[in-house]
Formats: sequence, structure tokens, C-alpha cells
Amino acid sequence: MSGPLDVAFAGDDFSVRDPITTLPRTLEERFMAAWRAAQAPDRYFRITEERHRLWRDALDQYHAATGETLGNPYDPGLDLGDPTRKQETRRKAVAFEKFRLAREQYAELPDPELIDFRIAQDARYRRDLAAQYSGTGNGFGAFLGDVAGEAATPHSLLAMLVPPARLAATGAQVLLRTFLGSVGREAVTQAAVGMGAQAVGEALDYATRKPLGTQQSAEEIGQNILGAGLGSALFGGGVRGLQEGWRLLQPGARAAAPSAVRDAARAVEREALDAGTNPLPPQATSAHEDLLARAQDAVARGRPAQVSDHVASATEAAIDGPSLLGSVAPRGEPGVRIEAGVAGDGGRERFVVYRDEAGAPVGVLRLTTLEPDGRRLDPAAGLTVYVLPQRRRQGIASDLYVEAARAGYNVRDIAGRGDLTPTGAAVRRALARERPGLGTAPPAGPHFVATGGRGDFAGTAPGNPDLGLAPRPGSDAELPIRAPRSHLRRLTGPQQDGAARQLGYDSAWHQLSDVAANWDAVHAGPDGRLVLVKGDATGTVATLTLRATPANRYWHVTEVGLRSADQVAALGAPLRVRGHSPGTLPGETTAVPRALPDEVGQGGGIARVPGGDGHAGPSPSDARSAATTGASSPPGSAGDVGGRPAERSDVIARRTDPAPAPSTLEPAGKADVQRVILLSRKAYGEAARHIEDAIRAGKPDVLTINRAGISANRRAALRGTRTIPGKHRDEYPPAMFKEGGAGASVRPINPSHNRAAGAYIGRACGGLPDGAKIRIEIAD
Amino acid sequence: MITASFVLDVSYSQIVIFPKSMENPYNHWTQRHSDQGFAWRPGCVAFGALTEGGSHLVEVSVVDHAGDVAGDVIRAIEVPFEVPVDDDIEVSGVSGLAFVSVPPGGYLLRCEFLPPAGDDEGRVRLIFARKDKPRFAVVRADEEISIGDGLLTTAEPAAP
Repeated sequence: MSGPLDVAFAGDDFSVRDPITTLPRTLEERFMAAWRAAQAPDRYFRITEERHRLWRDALDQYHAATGETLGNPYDPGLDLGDPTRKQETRRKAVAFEKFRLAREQYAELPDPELIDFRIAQDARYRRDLAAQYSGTGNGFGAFLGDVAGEAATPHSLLAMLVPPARLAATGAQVLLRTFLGSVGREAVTQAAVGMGAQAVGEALDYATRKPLGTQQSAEEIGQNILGAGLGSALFGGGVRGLQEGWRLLQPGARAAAPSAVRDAARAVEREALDAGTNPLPPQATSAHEDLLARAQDAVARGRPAQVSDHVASATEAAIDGPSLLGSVAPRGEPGVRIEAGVAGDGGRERFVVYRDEAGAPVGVLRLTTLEPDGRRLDPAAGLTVYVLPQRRRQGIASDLYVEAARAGYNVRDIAGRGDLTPTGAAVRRALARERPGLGTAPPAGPHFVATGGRGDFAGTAPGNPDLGLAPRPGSDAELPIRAPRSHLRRLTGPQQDGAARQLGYDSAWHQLSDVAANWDAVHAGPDGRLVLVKGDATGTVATLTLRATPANRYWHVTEVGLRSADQVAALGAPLRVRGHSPGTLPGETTAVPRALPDEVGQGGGIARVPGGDGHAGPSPSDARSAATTGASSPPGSAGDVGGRPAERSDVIARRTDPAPAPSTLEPAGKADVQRVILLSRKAYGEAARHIEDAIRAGKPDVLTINRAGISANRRAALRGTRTIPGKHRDEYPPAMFKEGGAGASVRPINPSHNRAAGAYIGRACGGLPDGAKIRIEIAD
Repeated sequence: MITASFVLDVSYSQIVIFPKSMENPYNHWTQRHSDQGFAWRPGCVAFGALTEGGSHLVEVSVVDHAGDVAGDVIRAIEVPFEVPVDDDIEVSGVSGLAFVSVPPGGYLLRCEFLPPAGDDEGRVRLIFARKDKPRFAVVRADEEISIGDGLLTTAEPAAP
């Protein structure tokens, strides 16, 4: 490339500055000219992108010459919303001065003052070249190139892909619903959206190009806006035409269509449903325009576009909240309930109302059903939710949706667009929890709770950001413990997960939430911090470090970890100690005498416990008989086959249902342990070590047999884990015990160790009914 | 042929067969047992399951001859098994168990693991063949089975 700069420009073709001497002959030539012209750096997006690239190249050369690194004025991190552009201005000023000085020594360095000049020159040349081609015949190639070039620009793609474009379309549609037919309405709506978006783009372009002298005339800008409107109308109307056509087809004809057509039709039907049911107001259009500008800027600077909050706020602003709250009685029973409105509504309108402790409504969700007293919601009416500003971001809207879903209203179908906003995402998660299988939120993972201006927090329950309470030094008061969502990645990273698993937890989050709620002792930490400790102080314990917020209103978790007994001792005497649930912590003194060596049956396997006989409860045969249905069936008769009919029953098969359980299953205590199971580390290897580690980390060693719950426990314990070839996932507490299930420690171990330990435990529990308690001990 | 079927909950990846009145059932597994897929001692045999656990549909049949192993069988292991007089046979999955009544006598017991069907996580066929010569054999091995230096035909009880 020739020229005063040694920086590279995109499209080497345009380094040739000679005017064309021959007319383009082929469709390809015209296509490429139009394509390149469409990508010329004379639009906001391309200018910004080109500036960033050329500055980067220049700064690289500066670095190579001087060894000094300078910041790129157009690096991500700058925000269009910052009108002062302080960072950009400052970096440019610094760079200009640095370059000026450096160029005195390194003459080969480019002059950054010329970057904008060259961008403008390049853009002008591309446009001129394309203009010379126009009107020379074969306009189809130019048309295709222009369309392809425009469609391929991030500017245009964003307008198509950014979800708010669809939302804004719907908003405009609300205005036009009563005036136009479906297809025409969609076309006009899309035209309005397209023109609006284009107008924003043109305004941005003009402001950006003017200093470069490449701005377009008012006539050109007008043409661009009209063109965008026409294109959008054709596209939008066409899609709606397809939707309407498909809808008019007879069901038989639909079914006969190829599967690909049916799939496509379902997609456009879904679009039509979304468009027809989304309750966004027209004000969303202006929000969309603002969003589009922000998104363009974000993408140009190489960072993700964050858009949804703005549309949400625009939506809220348009809802007449006080009026909506006035639709329900001013006083009622506290809590969330479904109520009829104050005014007559023909039986189709219901309100889900969240009332505070005084019974005053603070949030309301309006439902309109298709039939009076029905549960199917009217898609055309959509959903409207309003929460008093001071009570927002506390999960109230989610509670309203969940209550509606619980009552059988198909809110999720209507609220399908909700995942576009943080509120919608929270609703979706809430619905998923209510209807398992619908969502992706991990059941054992944190719930994220938004609390307005103080940010998002990880909570253990929907709507509640408090993980527990910890004392405030120097007073009797306790402050809530919270984990800011922004800290969670650091607090629960892979390293913390690994440490937590050493303690028998599933994850660092599991440890965090458990220790925050169930700490045993509180120690003073450095710099006013607090260290919560859970576990036996003679071994490795789980800890949380807390730091008070500036106003001393909350404790924030700053560290999740484990500490040795020495490290805990180094913290000094605890500020406070509190009790813990029996059977959940290691190191408890037991109320049950341990088995004496001479009481250990047959080499130390199953020990007799004073008060029991080693076979407390029914004898093995008794238990089996009691649990066996059809035990008296004569040979040749049908046996119980576990709820499924036997194919044939010449062989008597009697599946034993789980032994009858006591009327209640109390938490495992130690006073009524019926059998002690001693597992040898040597004989049972990894299985014994897993059990030992899990007990040391706080899992109970006294377990309650509950064969009836084994399937559910197994599923809960293994949820989220994956099989590992050559290993078995060992659970502790095992699934056949009441204490098993969610929260059990799961560790991949040697299959032979797992089978051996399982055979031993199975043998030891033989004859014990559900509800019987055993204690597991690990020995050498 | 006489048959029965039932659903058995399996834990610790094993299905154990022994007489109901056996005093010390269940076998201790070593690495070699786990590799060959079974642990056997007189009166009690434990077969390693294909899965870690879960409900299994178990089909039990008493036949003259076990016959060929069907094509859909994933793993098939044969062991000698003696059914005592006047005693049921217990089929245990550690967490679940069932009793079957099998005519007394010496059998070739073949345990076949098949692909799961329906909602169950495994399907097992136990064939008691009264006229086949009892033997130890891994008739069909899947990738988890490794026989090495031959079959180990002894095992210790699970409880010492």
C-alpha cells in the first residue's frame, strides 16, 4: 500500500486510486463493488471498528519501537452512554503526545492524527467507485451486492437479532391492532420499527461522520430511512402472510406437509403467538432505539450488548401501576392469593395479589381467562404485573407468577417472552422450580435474588437473600449473611469446590450455604472480619470468612475454605459457640456405648449394642416374612412381582417390599442404634475412606434404614453427577438410608471396593426393617 | 420351562443369589472378582451388574438346557448352583430382594444381562438349567469384564 501511513487498510483493492477506465462487464464485478461499498468505513459501526483496528496497529508499532504499551482509545470498556467519553479523549491525548515525541526518534512510526483522515478517504473512495458503477447496466448485480453487504454488516444484523426489535414490533402492534388486518398490520409495524431503528442509526452516523466530512445529505438520509421501512414492511408482512396462510390450511393438509415445513410453520406460529401476546407498550419502541444504539456501540467495541434492563424499565413506566393495584381491595389477608377484582369483569379477570404484613397490596398480576372462571389465559390480553417500586427486586413478581401457575393458569405459555429480561428470567426459574423439568436451574444451586440498588445476591430460597445470621461484634445483635452474586464465581470456583468435596460437600456453594446457616462457632478474623467454623475442632473444618458492609447492615461472604485445627486454634477463643443438630457433625459425644471388642460378632463385623441384641426388631426371617406378600402362596401359584404382573408364575417369585416402616421416621439419633457396622479401611479401601471423609465432614454416622425411599434418594444424590468409566459413584449416606439423597457426598471409587462394602452393608442390614438405625464406624 | 419375573431394586451394582436360610450370605468382592463379573462360593453367588444401581427387571426360569445365548445379551456368566431341599432362593439386589421357589437339585445357573427395557435401568435373566453340566464360564463378556489368568471360583463371605 502506498500513502503516508504504514498502517494497513482493509481491502487492498482500494489502494488503487485510478478512476475506472472501462465499464464493469459482469454481474460479479458489480456485486463486489456494491458489497465493498456497503462495508465502507463510513457508518458508525465500521468507523468505530476501523478506528480500533488502525489504532491497535499503530500502537503495536509504537510498542515495538519504544517498548512502551499504550491503551487503545477505542478499547472495550468505553460506553456510548458516557457523553464525555473521558477515557477515549484522555487516551487519545496521551497517545498523540507520545507518538509526537517518539516520531522524532523513530520516523517510521505512523502519525495517529491521520487515522481518521485515511478512514474517511477510504470510505469516500469505496462509495465513489460503487457510484461510478451504478447506472452502467446490470443493476441486478449491484442490487444483490448492496443487499448482501448491508445484511452482512453488524449494524443490520443487530437490528434483526436483538430481541427488543421483536418486542418493539409488538409494542407498535398494540396501537394498530384495531385498524388493520393481520398482514398489513404486521407490515406497517415492521416498517415503523425499521424506520425508527434506521433513524437512530442515521443520527449516530451523522454525528460520527461529520468531523470526517463524509456525512450524507438530508436527502440520502431520508432515502435510507424510507428504504429501511419498505424492506422491513415487505419482510414482516411476508412472514405474517406465511403465518396466516399456514393457519388457514386445513388440519389434514398441515399434517400432510413434510416435517421440515411443519417445523418451520411451528416456528412462525410461535412468533405470531409472541407478537400477539406480548403486552409491551408502544413506549418500548423508543427504548428499543436507545438499546439498538447501545448494542451497536458495545459490539463495535468488542463486548457483549447488555440491553434488557432498558426495555423492562420502559415497560414498567407504561403500566398504570396504582390503577392496577386499585383493582383489588385495599385490605386483605397477608400473603399471596388469587382474588377477584373490585370492579365487575365478567368473570374473566383474576388478580394474583401479594399483600404485606398489614394486608395492603404491594404487587399484583392480572390474569384474563378465555372463559369465565377458566384457567386458560387469553393470549390477546396478555399478562400485566406491577410491584410497588420500593418492593421491587425482592422476588415478589416471581411469587405472583408461581402462585398463578400453581393454581393451574398457563402463565408460562403467555409469559414465554419473559426470559428476555432479568425479571423474566427470574420468573422462568421460579416456574421451573414449581414445575420441575421445565427449567435449567440446578436444584441444589443458588437462587439469585435481586434486591434493588444493592445488587444481586445468591440465596438458598426464592426471594430470600439471607443465608443465615452471624453476630455483630460488641453487641447482641445478629446481621444477615449474604453472598453477592458478583462474588460467587470467586467464592465457588473449582479450587473451592475441590476443598469442599474434601469435606464431603457437593460443592463450594453447598458448603457456603450450609456453614452460613449452621455454623458451630464464630471467631474474630483479621481486619474486623468474622470466621464461621463448622465441624469438629480437632480435625479439618469448613470455614467462611465474612466482612461487614460499610453501614454494618450485613455480613458479606469473602472466602469459602477449610482450616486445620491448628489454624482454628490460632484464631483464638471463639466469640460465640452454638449447638448443632444431632447426628450431623463429627466429633459428637455419643450417648450410646460403643461396642466392646468382645461384643463384636465374628471378628469385628457386626457389633452387638447394649440394649439391643444385634438383631433388634424382627429377626431376618421375621422381617422378610412380614414384608413378603404372598409368602403363603402354594408352589405354583402367582407371586407378588413388585406391582407388575408376572408373565408366568410356575416359579414362585415374591418380591419383598420394603420392610414396614414405623409411623414416623425421626431424625437419626444415637440412643436407639440397633446395629453398629465396622468397616475396615484395609478390606473396603476407597469405600471406607469415602465414608470416613464424609463423616468427618459432617455427614451423619447414624443412619436410618429407609428402603422405600431408595430410588428418590439415589436420583437426588446423583443428580448432576456423571458416570466415570471404570468407577462407581459411591454415595454417603447411602440411598437406602433416610439421611441419603440430596446433599449426600458422592465420590467415584473402585467398583470392587464399592461392591464389597455394599455386600457387607447389605448383609449387616439384612433383617432390619425400615426405620431401624445403624451406626457406621471405620476401623483399621 | 417355568418362569417368573419381578422388579428388583439393585444397589452397589450386584445381584446376589443364595438360599433363604443361609446364615452368612453375600460375598466379599476383590478386584479379581469384580473384573470377572462374579464372586462365587458354595451356596452363594454374586453377579456384578452393568449399572451402579437402580431398578432391574429380573426374569427367572427353570429349564432343562440353557441353550444358546441370545444375540441381545450383553453379558452372560454361568456358575454351578445347588438349590437345597425345602428352601426358597433369595435374589437380592442389596436394597431389594425377592424369593423364588426352585425345585431342589444341582443346576447350571446362567445370569444374562440384557439391554434395559421400559422404565427399568437393567434387565436380568436368571436361568436354572437342571440338565446342563454345571461349570464356571463367562459365556459372553462385555468391555468391563477382564478374565486374565482364569476364573476365580472361590470367595469369602461378606461378613468376616
